[in-house]
Amino acid sequence: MWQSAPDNPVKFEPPGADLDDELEDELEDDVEDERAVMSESHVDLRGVRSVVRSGYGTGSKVRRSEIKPTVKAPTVNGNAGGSDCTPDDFATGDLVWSVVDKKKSWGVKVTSLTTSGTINVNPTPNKPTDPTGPNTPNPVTGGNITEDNWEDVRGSLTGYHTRKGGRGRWHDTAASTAHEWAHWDTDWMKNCLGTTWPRYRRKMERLKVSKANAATAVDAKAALQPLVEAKLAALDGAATKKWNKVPDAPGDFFANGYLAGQAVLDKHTKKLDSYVTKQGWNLLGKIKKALTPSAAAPVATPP
Amino acid sequence: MQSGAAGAIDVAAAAIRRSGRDPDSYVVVSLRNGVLTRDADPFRWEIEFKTVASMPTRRGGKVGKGGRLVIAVDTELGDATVVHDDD
Repeated sequence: MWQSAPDNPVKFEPPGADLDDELEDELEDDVEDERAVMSESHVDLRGVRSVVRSGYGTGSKVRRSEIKPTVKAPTVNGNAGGSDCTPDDFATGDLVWSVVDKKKSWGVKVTSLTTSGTINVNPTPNKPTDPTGPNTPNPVTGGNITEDNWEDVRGSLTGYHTRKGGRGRWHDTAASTAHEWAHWDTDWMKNCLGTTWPRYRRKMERLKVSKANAATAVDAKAALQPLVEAKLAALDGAATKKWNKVPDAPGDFFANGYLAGQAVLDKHTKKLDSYVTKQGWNLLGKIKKALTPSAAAPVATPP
Repeated sequence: MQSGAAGAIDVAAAAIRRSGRDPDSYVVVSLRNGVLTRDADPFRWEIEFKTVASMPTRRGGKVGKGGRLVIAVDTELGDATVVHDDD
């Protein structure tokens, strides 16, 4: 279900500020562009956001609420041949807008934007007692971890987000799922759409048609429709450009998919290490075993 | 023994099938022959696949994240080794 945006943005005009809307929006865009360049991967534009500016007098602020792009849940295939994530291109029906009366002209008021996509996840086999990969580790007594395979398993798990890494023979479907959802939640919603949508929404709302050219709201809607669609296509182009540059190779900085997947695999590594130590297969386990008196060993008693 | 690009793709597709995946879910995006490398070998190939779902549907469209699979093939021995598997 899409969420609708707050309809009446709160706006505190600075004293004496009489810039026209267009110039004001351009200035705001400039501020945003600078912010995007400075911290693009950290910007969270989902939800209500404030744009704070200085230079219009002491302590002046302009606050605006932002329309939150709402998500039509991506189509998820959990039994796919391969794992990937692809947002859909925007279609005309994804944008809801209406015509507003601006005295001498008709303008555009955007109500909502819908985004969706597809997430495919290729499941990792889960054979709890089979010590061969591809498989999901199960480090319990009678499970699939042995003295012979634990080092390979560990290498698969820890090597995922390293250069020449990627999915190893020992993996977990949950890691692939986390990987693909990170592409959706962080890369698409936050870093691509989140940084482009507010700007293009404002561009749409700057569109207008004179009442001399469109006598009624219906005429204005027809006149504005192609202009709004052009802005929607431009939004799609800008967001796509960012999306296609999102890093997605193991070992890459800001490879959010691999970071999310590795976090899942690290939990497996922790359990594996604990089990292997308990079994006395690694160095720590061997030392512990050597220091622990065996229950079967005879206890020396004084004569 | 199979030879040539088609043979190399067949060997790689069989490896994909053995890993429990459907080779029809993948498309070949690059094919490199060992002859072009320093270790010249007409039987050695490196084939890069992407999932069909991750391919852009139009020029300049979105390329899906993930779905990349690189397999090294030796057509003389019929060997296939996964060099990189996304996700």
